[in-house]
Amino acid sequence: MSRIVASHVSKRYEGAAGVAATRALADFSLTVNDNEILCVVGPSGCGKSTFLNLVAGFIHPSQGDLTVNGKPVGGPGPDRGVVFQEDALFPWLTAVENVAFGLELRSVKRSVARERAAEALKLVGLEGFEEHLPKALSGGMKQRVAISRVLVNDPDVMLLDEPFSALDTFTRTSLQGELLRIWQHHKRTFVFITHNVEEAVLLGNRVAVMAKTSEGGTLVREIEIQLPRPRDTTSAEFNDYKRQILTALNMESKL
Amino acid sequence: MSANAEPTIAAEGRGSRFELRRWLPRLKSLIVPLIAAVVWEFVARNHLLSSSLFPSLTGVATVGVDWIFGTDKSALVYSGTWLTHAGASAQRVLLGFAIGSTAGLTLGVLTGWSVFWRTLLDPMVQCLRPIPVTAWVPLSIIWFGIGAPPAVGLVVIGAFFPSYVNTVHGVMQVEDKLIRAARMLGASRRQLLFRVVLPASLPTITTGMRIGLGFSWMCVIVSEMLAVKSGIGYVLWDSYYFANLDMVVAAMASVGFLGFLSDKIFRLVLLARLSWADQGERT
Repeated sequence: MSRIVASHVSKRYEGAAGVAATRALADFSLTVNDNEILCVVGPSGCGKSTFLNLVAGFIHPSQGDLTVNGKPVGGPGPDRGVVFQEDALFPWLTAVENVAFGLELRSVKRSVARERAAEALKLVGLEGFEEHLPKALSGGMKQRVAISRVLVNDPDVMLLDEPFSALDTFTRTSLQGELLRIWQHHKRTFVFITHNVEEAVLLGNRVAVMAKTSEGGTLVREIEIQLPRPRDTTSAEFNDYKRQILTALNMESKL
Repeated sequence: MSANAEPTIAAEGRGSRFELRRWLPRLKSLIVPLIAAVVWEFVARNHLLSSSLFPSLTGVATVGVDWIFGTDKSALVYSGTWLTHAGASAQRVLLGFAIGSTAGLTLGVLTGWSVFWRTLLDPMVQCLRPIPVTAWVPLSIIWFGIGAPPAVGLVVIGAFFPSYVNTVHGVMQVEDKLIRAARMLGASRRQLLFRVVLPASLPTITTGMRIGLGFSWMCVIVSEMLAVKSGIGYVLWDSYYFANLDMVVAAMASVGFLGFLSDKIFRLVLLARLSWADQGERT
């Protein structure tokens, strides 16, 4: 079943008077299937974050149709959880309060919300850090809180906008593993934006490759990653996929 | 980062050694005031400046003590009346500040949050803001007569603007990522305002209120000098009329102390709630 369907979507940002509009997406069509991890990879300015923001409902298409669960996307909502690139936790709330925030908005009793939030934190390995303020957490821990803040709402779709790009390699690897474990236990649709080709091949069931053109960002290729998990990032097959994507991106290393 | 260093000192320190280590650096800050006091007293005692122009420190202290405790009548009619006058001023500040900063906060949130209210309110406020608070004195006397009301009215004006300006600024500069995060979690516009925008702008709002509190003391003194027959400002002006400089300086010190104290209390009440925004002090 297809969970997200974008057909011929364009997005322009109107500039100030006299300034040409910015073309972010041009005639973009893509289908995201139920319970798959779709990685979207591309250089900056290719419109991959625009696509995610459209699905999240933060912005709306200039042209074309975008549906989630068969319904046109209106505004943002807890059925489409977003994990942002930068730390977007509420700095005045503790870890557990951040996670409970969404539940409390929907009038879940405070004690129940806290309890479920504590469980969600446990799921991402943050037991014992419930009462910490974000400023007392490392970058990796903050993203773990951000993931459980979304998970606790049991969304249909998880949208991840380069969530690990600011982390060091070791933290990133451990969080990638964590994310896959979560996906395997709580199957749902993930859209994972990244500019890291290896990360895309490691995580994705499919990889959508995007490129920037003068008309705006477009989809260049969709590649199905038929590797069993756990995946060996040093294997020949893995590198074949990386090469395919790099070729599609027109950025094979020819040094 | 003294905050990190303290626990270790507390853990190993015992008795006087610990006390000394802790207090010695703080004693340093007393050096300049002490020198100033000595020079002040020296100049006054030796009549380097005429005593009618320059009261001595001990003279001010004696009068101040009598003003507070009623010991030797050196404060004349004001002997033992400090608490009454300080209380009168503090009451006006408290009332005026409460009204003014609440109004500033409310209108500031409306203006910062909604384009509709911004268009409606902000031009008017910006027109009135450049008028110095002291220029309102004649009008406030005409409107409210002589007594406490014009003083409170002036304090309201003084407390309003800093609170308003900082609240508008605080609300408008709430980071977009926090707003997006809250909307993604399902926040309604109302929830967004009360659960995200207000807490996020609280540090800026608090700064505005602290400035407003300082302004409030200035306003109360000015209005008491001109339109009220009680309060520290009244004592200050009255003593000036009778050329009682010791008393004038004692009144100045009193206002300084009260302003300092109220700021300290204000910070104590709010600081605990704002620890999340504390990035640690530069040392």
